[in-house]
Amino acid sequence: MRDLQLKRFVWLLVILGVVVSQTGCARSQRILEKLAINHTLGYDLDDDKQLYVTAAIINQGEGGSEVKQELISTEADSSKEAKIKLSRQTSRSIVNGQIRNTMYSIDVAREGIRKLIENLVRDPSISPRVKITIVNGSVKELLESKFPDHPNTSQYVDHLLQKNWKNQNIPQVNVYQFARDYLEDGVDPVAPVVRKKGDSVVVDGLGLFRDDKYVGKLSPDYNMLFAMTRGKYRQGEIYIKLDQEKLDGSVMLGTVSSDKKFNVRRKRNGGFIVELFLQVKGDIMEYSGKVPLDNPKDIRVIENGISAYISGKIEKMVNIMQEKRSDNVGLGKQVRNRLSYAEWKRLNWEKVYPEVTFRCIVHTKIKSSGEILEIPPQSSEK
Amino acid sequence: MKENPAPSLEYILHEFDQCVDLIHRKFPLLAADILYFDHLIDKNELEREILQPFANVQADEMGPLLSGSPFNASFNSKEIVLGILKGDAAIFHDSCVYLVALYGPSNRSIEQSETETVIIGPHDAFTESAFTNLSLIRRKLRSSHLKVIQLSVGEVVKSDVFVLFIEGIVNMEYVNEMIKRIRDIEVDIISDSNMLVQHIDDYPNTIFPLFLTTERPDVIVSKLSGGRLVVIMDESPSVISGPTSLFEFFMSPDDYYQHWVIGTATRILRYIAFVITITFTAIYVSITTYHYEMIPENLLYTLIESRSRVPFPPVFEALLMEITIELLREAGARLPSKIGQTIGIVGGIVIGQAAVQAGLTSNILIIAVALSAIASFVIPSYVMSASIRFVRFFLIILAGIWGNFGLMIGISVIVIHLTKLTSLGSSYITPIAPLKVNDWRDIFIRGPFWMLKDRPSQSRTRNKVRNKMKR
Repeated sequence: MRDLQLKRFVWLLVILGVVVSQTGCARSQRILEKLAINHTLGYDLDDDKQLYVTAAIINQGEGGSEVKQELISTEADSSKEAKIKLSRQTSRSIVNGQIRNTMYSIDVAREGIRKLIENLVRDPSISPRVKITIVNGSVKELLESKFPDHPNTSQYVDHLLQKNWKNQNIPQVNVYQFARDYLEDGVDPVAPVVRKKGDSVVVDGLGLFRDDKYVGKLSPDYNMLFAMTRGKYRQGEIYIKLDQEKLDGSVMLGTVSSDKKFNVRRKRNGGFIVELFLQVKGDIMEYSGKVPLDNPKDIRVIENGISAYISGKIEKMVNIMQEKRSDNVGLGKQVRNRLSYAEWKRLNWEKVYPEVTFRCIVHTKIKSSGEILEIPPQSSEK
Repeated sequence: MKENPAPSLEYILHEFDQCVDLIHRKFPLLAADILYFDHLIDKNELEREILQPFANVQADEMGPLLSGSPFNASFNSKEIVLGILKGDAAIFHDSCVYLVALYGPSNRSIEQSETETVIIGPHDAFTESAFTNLSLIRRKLRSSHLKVIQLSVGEVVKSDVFVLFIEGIVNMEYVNEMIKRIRDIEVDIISDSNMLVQHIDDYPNTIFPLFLTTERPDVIVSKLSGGRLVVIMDESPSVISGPTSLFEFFMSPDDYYQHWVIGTATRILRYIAFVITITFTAIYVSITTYHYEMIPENLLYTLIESRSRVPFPPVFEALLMEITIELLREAGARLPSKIGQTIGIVGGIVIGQAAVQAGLTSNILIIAVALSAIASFVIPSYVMSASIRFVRFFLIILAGIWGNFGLMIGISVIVIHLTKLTSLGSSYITPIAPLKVNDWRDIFIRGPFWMLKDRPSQSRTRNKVRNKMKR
């Protein structure tokens, strides 16, 4: 019994030895400090309309100096060719497993980024959560620029997007969501646009795509409203300028939450009417107008003002999209849901879309207007 | 020469030839001879039991005197030799031999256990004397149902072994199996119960201890009342209990002396410590060698920075540090406690600081190694803690070869191995492998006492209920 066990154990050792020597264990190793870890990939077009790839790499200098960002760039026909060309420029092997962000200049995005995204999706070491960002200007220039308060530019941009997405200033756009919106019928993808502004980077608005091609952008004012049309909206903040008659000043709503519902109706002549019902709730954080806040009736006036403002803005936003013939809100998806498959297939949505009538009906509710309703003006007599 | 000749003074003296420490007292007036080892007996006892009565009797009164207590007639040479070796005095009179038990060398007094300390609860621990140990158990377990069976092991030296159990609670199959295994031992000498365990366990090649050994009487009493049996060996302060499951090694009596919430929390802490000990360094190795993707972004920078000065691949780096820690531990264990403190300082400062500054290791590895070493000492049983510290090396090497895949292979092998093991024929991972969810409330947590109604299922007792209270 014991001899048998010993024999088996010896065999196990032999097999283990063979397996270890056969796998050639050293080759597949990716030891951390010997890697050039890609953090951000940037795509530009150079003057000859050639793809110009810039990689921001997490790299430490030789002999244990501080870990820094290193930029290497090359001209290439495709992103994979770029990888080979880039690896000539570094002493370490380039790996993609830690990519956080991919940046495309507007020029590249105008040409269509389907092929580039496809490569990201195909590589299993690249996470589907890699962000997609459009840069207003040159990507290389943005990555090269030094921001005094943020030593690591690529990380800075990544964190900036992350934070803005958490605050719901911009929609979360990553490879997975972009590819899904691109492939789905009746909705077109979006991506945030950033721009260098002095000593910092700012979110410059929302890039609108038709299929995989960039067609234009919305100004940052629409960020919040776009988020409301796309999904449930929680814990946001919104700043509204009221300029109807009787109402003046501006309102800042905090802890805003919204809920949406679409309704699709057919027109007699065959077109569609899409209605968006929006429920917005929030607290007044700041108000600079003259309406006294201690009267529920007057609050209703403010609520109506806010409703009018939001619905007007959203309708305007959809009009901009319709002009550019990109269906980023996903009206097509709503229409598709009301139609049978055959009907939808027969419909040439591209053509119908610009003719769709869009209406937005907003119902605003102000939950509270603060602890102190109004600080009375100090009388001068005392 | 005959196998077992009739007892005679000449024969016994011949047996103890060249034993200068044997005392031979002659009483020519009484025609009596006394043989004993001076250092094995209590001198006062000898005075009271033998010398005084002998001084007060005449030659013709010897017969009646020796027929009474404490004189036991013996007609077997072997028994007489053994008796003298055990500290009896042998009295030769008129071709008869009488043994008087006078055993009395001083023992180590009952002290606190050094290896298994508790914060609250009883602090006494077993000593080397089996009878002291028995008395410690009897004092805590006053019941006539506590049975003690005496056996002996060893061919050259017969050591006394006692098997204890509570009749009516224990499953007699276990007792019979244990007695059979102890009787089957044919070794010249077994000097400690931790050696005895290795002769009676089911799988001699496993690195996991298959029987619980403890120095604490309160643990032994709770094992007995839980339907397990207990083996005491003379001259050994560790007492064996069985059958044992893996999870018993993670229990401490402290769990029961404290409130059940605290007890549960500490017990869970120990299981976490178990996982940390086994896997933490291995995960470091596999991540830094293969899976750079898994590192959170903020950690990535510091990790690269600390790794960049290290000239070795992570496996060698980790093995180097692990072996250093083991060296420190072993040196600390062997040295007297006053020098042991120096080891602590040398280890803490030299290994912790200088190794990083010299660029031999990364400081994150130091944390990993130190944490897993500390975690291994959280496990109350020293034997188990040594076992899992050994298993760790196996996993580190696998992680160095195949990364996380190797780690999973290693953990699977450990689980398969544990599943195979048995203790006294019952499964080693009992409440899991024969699934007994009822037992979990006393294994993975320390449930409140109203919840602990039944004895552990591994005891296979017929007398299941231990708590009849309604709440």
